[in-house]
Amino acid sequence: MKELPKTIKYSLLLVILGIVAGGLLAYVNSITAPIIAERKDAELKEILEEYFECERFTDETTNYELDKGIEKIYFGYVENNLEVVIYQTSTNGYGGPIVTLVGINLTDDKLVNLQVASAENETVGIGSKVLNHDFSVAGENITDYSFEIISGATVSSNAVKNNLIIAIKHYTENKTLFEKVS
Amino acid sequence: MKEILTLAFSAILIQNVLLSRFLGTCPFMGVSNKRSSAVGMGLAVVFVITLSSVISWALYNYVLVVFEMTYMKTIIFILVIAALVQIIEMFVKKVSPPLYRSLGIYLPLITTNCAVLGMATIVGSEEYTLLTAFVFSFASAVGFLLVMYIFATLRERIDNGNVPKAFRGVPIALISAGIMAMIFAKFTGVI
Amino acid sequence: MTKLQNFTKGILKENPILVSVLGLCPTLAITKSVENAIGMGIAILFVLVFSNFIISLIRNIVPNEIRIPMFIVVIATLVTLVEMLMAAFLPALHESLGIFIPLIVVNCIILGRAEAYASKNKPLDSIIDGAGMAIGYTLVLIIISIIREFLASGTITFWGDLQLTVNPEQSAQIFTSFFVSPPGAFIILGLLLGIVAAIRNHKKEVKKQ
Repeated sequence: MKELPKTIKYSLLLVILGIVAGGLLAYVNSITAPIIAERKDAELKEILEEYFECERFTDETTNYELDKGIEKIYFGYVENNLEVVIYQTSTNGYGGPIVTLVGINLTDDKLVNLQVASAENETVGIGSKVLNHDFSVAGENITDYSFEIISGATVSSNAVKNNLIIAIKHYTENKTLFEKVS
Repeated sequence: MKEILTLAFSAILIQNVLLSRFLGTCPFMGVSNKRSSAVGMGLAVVFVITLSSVISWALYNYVLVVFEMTYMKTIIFILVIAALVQIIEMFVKKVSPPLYRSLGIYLPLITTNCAVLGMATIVGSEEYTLLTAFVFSFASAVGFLLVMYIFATLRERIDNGNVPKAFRGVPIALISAGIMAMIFAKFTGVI
Repeated sequence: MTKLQNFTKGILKENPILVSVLGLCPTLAITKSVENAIGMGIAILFVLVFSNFIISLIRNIVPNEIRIPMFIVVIATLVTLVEMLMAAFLPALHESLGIFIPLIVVNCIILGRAEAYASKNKPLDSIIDGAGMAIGYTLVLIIISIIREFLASGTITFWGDLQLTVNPEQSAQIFTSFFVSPPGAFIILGLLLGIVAAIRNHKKEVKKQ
């Protein structure tokens, strides 16, 4: 029983320290988090504009039920008509997640573009080839497309292909919902 | 299943936590001069890394994300690790005093092992599932153990050889580690 | 020990990397460019100085049994602060230093100084000790980065666009990316520590005579 007051005293000290630390960090976080978020949005808009030529983009992630692997859904508008549905998908490649952006045109069900956004855990010079590789799927039909696996980087390429498959599956299942928007 | 195996294989050999990611270098230099202590340390580390990474993953995804306090992750993870090492120390002391004596100071030092906090930080994120978190952390730790053992075997030989006085100990160990790293780097072409 | 001696010991006599061989992980990993080294140095300076200061301030209130967890919380909080500030205001640096920013928490130098010095000395002395150690550490990081980055690409990047480049035609023949790869890191550090040990041994021999 002699031990008890000591344990309580020590735990109290640690808890107080924890609260002070937590409070300080919460405060700084409230300042830095918006700055970080804003920059991420700007970077994202830049990327989306580069690969999916639309005038305006909206983040629709919270408005739809997402399958496993889909991180975000964006809508790309041209002249206020919903033209492109863009998926940000992520599958595990060789060393870590590979994030891919897949754009599908709502009017003709054709793939607008596929762009690997990040593959930072892939082996440099081998799996990392997927990052700048042109998989040439633009203009292909979502039901019948050809996807080239980079030789020597099969695992990374398959991850990209999986990303594409996930995106197409969700698109096909939710197409009617998207059409209601435009 | 194939995905899991690939993940494990790459964690052990290709992106080896020591020779490729540079995590855990301090004990690598400090403990690896005898095979028995290297293995003992390695096994303890496997246990701590796997357990702490999984716990960190759970805390991150079910507590920190839910309460929107993800910025607390570094503090929480390191406290989990410190607590885990404390518990293991007490456990080993009770169950096997000779083992406790032979591991000596290396046990508490696991707390400051970059590999442990490093793995927890990598795995404690939304990009891993419970299964991949477990496999990845366990495999990476096994990679650590593997390199520690091979290296200890090497060092036992090197220390008996003709090394210039200035290079004895850490310098020659680092150079040997560099050569090992070159060999491990060649594993990338295997898959 | 005078204040000046307190400061310079971190740079020479008790240099954390060259003498005590602490904090190896980031030394090997981030010394790929001088910019990284400078960035990491700033981060460590901030954390080490403030942690030494705070721990020195609370050294008489902290019960001995729980001092390590308390030090860890202080250090971890400071590191998280640095990480948040870097993510917001120095994003490129934050991305290239990556996981090694949170790993500052377990950098033996910080906990080591807290335990060995700050918990037993006054705040001002602790600040000086912290600053000296951090600067000593950073200087070695910068030297290694200069060697590695230069041998790898013939360039030395001080900060962003502030670079020093050698004639690109000559670069192709001499420079190789080996030096910024993991094996290169181990080997360069090993050679450097060996040379430093040789110099120190020589000095000892000279002193004997």
